[in-house]
Order: sequence, then C-alpha cells, then structure tokens
Amino acid sequence: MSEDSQIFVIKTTANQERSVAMTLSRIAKKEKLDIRAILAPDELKGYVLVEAPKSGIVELAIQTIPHARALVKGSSSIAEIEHFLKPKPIVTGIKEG
Amino acid sequence: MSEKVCRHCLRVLDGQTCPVCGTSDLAEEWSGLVIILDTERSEIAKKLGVDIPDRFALKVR
Ligand SMILES: [Zn+2]
Repeated sequence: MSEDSQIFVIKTTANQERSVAMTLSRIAKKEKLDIRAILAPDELKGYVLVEAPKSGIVELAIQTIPHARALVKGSSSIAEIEHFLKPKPIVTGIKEG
Repeated sequence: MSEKVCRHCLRVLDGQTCPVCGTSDLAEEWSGLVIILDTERSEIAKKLGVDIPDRFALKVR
C-alpha cells in the first residue's frame, strides 16, 4: 500500500524555482525516488513545493541540486496548497491503456 | 522563456504541436509550473485531473 502524500517545501535561490523543479524531477526519475509531483507557482517566490510521502526522500534529493538551499521544517497538507492549483487546467480526458 | 504551452491541456511542450491534443494553438506567455511524476499516487495530479505524467503550466495568457 502506498503511503499518503505530504507537501514539503524547498527554499531556493530567487528566480531559480523552475530550474530547481526541473532538476529535481530529473533526479527523481533517474533515481526512481517516490516524488509524486513538483509545484513551482509564480506567486511563491523562492520556494518549490514537493509532493512525496516522506521528508527524507526530498532531503536526499536536494543535496546535489544547485540553487536548492534547504528543506523547510515540517510539512503541509494538499488542502493547504490547493489554491495554487486554480484555475484548473483543462483536462484532456485521455487515459493511458 | 522559450518553451511554449498548449492552450488546451496546458502541457509544456518542446515542439510546435501538442502531442496529446494535436493542436498548434500554443501560448508563449505562461506562469506556474507543475511537474507530475506519479499519476497513480499524486494528489496534485488528481486535483488537476492529470492522467499522464508531464509538465504543465498553471496559467496561460
Ligand atoms: Zn495539449
């Protein structure tokens, strides 16, 4: 059974949010880390949000990422960050398989 | 930024046509970035209705 998602916050150098998000996604894929989603809203300067089950996964992953400065202590729930997801993208309705 | 975004599904694209929608109706100005890696377990993917791992914009102009 998969563990519940939590939201962890990475502090980044200003204006490097997207680059940190992209690098983190590359590392997560390569190392097969259980990082489920990465969010870099423009409203949130200097931070990137990461959806993962445990902070250790994120902490480890950011060690080698330039401009990822630190993992903020604690975690948030999806509900707390939900407002960043609006307006909703138009869904395609296309499913795999 | 040089990458463009499909106006229909908000996918961030490398090329000039969205491979999912088949459209070339792209936005050059966009904001916010969401990278969905695990559609099965991501709550964010569920909220956004994303069922294929990819990069998405939050807003297009
Ligand atoms: Zn599209």
